[in-house]
Amino acid sequence: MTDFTLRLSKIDDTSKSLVGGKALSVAKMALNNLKVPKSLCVTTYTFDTFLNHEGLRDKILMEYYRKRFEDMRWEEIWDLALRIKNMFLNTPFPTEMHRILKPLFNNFFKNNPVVVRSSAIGEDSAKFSFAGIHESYVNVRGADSILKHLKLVWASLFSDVAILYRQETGLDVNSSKMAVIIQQFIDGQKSGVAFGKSPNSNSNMMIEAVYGLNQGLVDGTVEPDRWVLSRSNGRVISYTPAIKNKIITAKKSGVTISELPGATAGKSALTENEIHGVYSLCKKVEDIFGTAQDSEWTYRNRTLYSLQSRPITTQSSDSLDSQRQWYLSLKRSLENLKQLRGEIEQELIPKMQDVARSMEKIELSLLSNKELADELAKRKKIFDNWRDIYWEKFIPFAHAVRFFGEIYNKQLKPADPYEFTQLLVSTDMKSLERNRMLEELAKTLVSKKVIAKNQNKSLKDIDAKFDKMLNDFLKKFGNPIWGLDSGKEYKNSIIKLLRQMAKSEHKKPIASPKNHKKLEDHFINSFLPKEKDYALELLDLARVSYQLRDDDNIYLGKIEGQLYSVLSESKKRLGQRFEFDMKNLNIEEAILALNNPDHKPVVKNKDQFKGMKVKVRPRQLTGQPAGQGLAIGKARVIKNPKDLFKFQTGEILVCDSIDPNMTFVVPMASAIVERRGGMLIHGAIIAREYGLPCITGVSDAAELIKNGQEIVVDGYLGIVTINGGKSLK
Amino acid sequence: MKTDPLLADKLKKLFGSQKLGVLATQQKKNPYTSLVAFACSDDMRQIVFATPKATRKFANIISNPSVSFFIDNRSNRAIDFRKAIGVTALGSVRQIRKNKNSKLMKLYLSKHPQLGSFLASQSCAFLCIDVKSFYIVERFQNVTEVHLE
Repeated sequence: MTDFTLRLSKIDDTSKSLVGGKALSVAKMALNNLKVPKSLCVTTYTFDTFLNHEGLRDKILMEYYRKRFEDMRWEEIWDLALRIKNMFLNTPFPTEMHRILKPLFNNFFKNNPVVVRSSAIGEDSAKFSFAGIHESYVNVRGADSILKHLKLVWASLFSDVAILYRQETGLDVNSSKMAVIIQQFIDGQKSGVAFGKSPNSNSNMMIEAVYGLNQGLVDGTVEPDRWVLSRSNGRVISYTPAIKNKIITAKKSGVTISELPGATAGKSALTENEIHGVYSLCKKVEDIFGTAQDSEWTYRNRTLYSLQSRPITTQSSDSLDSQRQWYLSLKRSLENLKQLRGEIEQELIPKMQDVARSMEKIELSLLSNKELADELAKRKKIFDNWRDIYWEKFIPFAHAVRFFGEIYNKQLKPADPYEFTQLLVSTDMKSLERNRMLEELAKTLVSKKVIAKNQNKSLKDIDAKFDKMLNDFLKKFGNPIWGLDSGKEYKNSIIKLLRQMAKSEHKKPIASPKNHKKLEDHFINSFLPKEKDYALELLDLARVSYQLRDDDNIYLGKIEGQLYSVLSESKKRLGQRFEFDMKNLNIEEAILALNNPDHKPVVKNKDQFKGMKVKVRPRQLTGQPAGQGLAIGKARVIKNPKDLFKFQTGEILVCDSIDPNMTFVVPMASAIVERRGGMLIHGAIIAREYGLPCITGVSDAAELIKNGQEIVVDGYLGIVTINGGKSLK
Repeated sequence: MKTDPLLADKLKKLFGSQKLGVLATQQKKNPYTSLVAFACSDDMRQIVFATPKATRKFANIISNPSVSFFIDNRSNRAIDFRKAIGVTALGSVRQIRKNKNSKLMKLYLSKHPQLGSFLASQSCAFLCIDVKSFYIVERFQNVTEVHLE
């Protein structure tokens, strides 16, 4: 029978598929008399046995393929990873496995702290670098805690970053396996990484070092001192000291970040002897593995420990590695996120707004065809550039929310894993006030029975107090956001809405959200006094990130809108010239045809059933259940803000994404269906607040569902059925 | 309408890759299912199959030509819950003349050459479902209807 665990002395090249590259390299270092922490490897056989237990593997597959990857937003992939992680945590160890592992961990490590590290198969090969993609947990103590963290490391095979990276590299997640290496924790005083071959020169190597543990160096929180050495003799070629002000150290469990004492901050992290020690280590590991290595090490009481070693990837400069770097950028540290915030708020957003505004000013109808073609090409370039920036800066910054959520859940372990969102939802005072005034107006309508009295009368006849209130409201919210002309159209729309609101009792929030202040205090007080500033900074950053994740799309959308307005003008002109349908005309063909009167644009026929007369109708659409319950009702599809005023009590709100301007119709709705996915979006949060059935992440919801269609919203399973109410009535 | 742009291709691929489907017939409100070898025309309007005339399914068809026909690509693994596609075709069956040169017979025999003598037998009927609509189920609960006009 295959073993659940292997000691380092039992590991050799033949066991690679059982222990993974990382554990194998530690075993080889130990065999070659390098000082490594006392270690035990949990094999892939254990992982497989656990996955086959209680159908976990099948459950993961079911969840994993719920939706096409190309249709998922990053937030949905994060939700997916979170659900899979919970599956791991909620699956008990098989009895036999638990009976063997628990006493083994107790005997092997006693009550000493350990590090639980991933050692996935294929990880740390020269072809693909998974460095940093999977999780490691530092300073874990006791067999029960090791067992729990073992599950967490396994689950990291399905983390959002790991899922995305595997998609990119074409590695099949279904056949991926994870071994885990558990090492006694070395509470190092100085730590770092060493690259046996510098990325910039084959004849040099590089050492980076920090005070304390190297977690801060790896995730970018703590800047390291850096030395470039000659590979041949270890001579220091250059030394770049860091501005050292932070240190990562062990606490009771896990690690903490704190200020580096001033006296230490001024000194270089390594002495000459220590630099030489790391240099020798580099040479030895290169001898052992036959190729230059990327090694992690730590000094404790002048003893140098080699923690792990991996080959420097052969593709380090190619696109694959830059993609890995992008995925890793989603796991930014607080320091990184703060820098990013400054850049986004002060530089990028104002620029985006300026760009959109300057394009808005151009009167397209006055341009010649040639000028229109130039404008189209220019805007395409501008949009592509901002889309790149969006991926590079905005999406990684949006991860401050997830960063906060993970820390909140770790600190407070709330029953609802999304409780933290209550601290982030911006209290949009303006929309709250607007909603309150609308409710007040609707109540006044009811109390004075003005609906009955005035239904056939002109507005002038409406009660004077009501009229004053209404005018005050219109004055205050003469509202460009709703896309209505101020004046008569707006006033009539509001009256119509109020009549609808006044017709019946509307839903109230089922539970008032927990007191924000109390939640905030609870969160801040869960930190040690010296960590409280960190907690406050984190909360502030998460709030900004949460707000931005709504707004940034809008800003990019404005630029995209400006691109499409030129394309639309181009289609109009070319449609007149050639008299055929330009609906599917692409940008490149439009430019060619605008520049050359003889060029007949090629418009690709997207008719999927070529020449056949067919009607394609969606019947059932699936998404993510985000609010439990079952509702049958007519769909009200919101395509532009004006549609909100047509909302009738009991209808189902179907939209691309809910924003704070839409919230006033939610109490009238019987359910919510939204294209945008994820548990953190407004739709999901507000549906939970009102106890409404809600499904998010329904691809093309607002396109596929038609206004007035009867739909069934199954908020338990996440299924929308069109014309499906018969069996339920 | 914005639906899966690959839907037509997906259907054709499925009909091309599968040799067998489940035919559902009924008589006097008693439903009955049988596994049959089929071929589908390129325009997806016709599904042909063959059956001995003495069978229950043939008797049922004579009394009620409305049928449904189910084709899927499951592999009997857990991944089927998300990856398999199931298509139900609804339509009405008519018996067609056996003619070696007819398009439909060529279509059927090129897909199932081993059934040549079976089809040629006098006791065997060659049947065609004129499809009115397809119901396509993917990723466990996503359903799309295609109505042929």
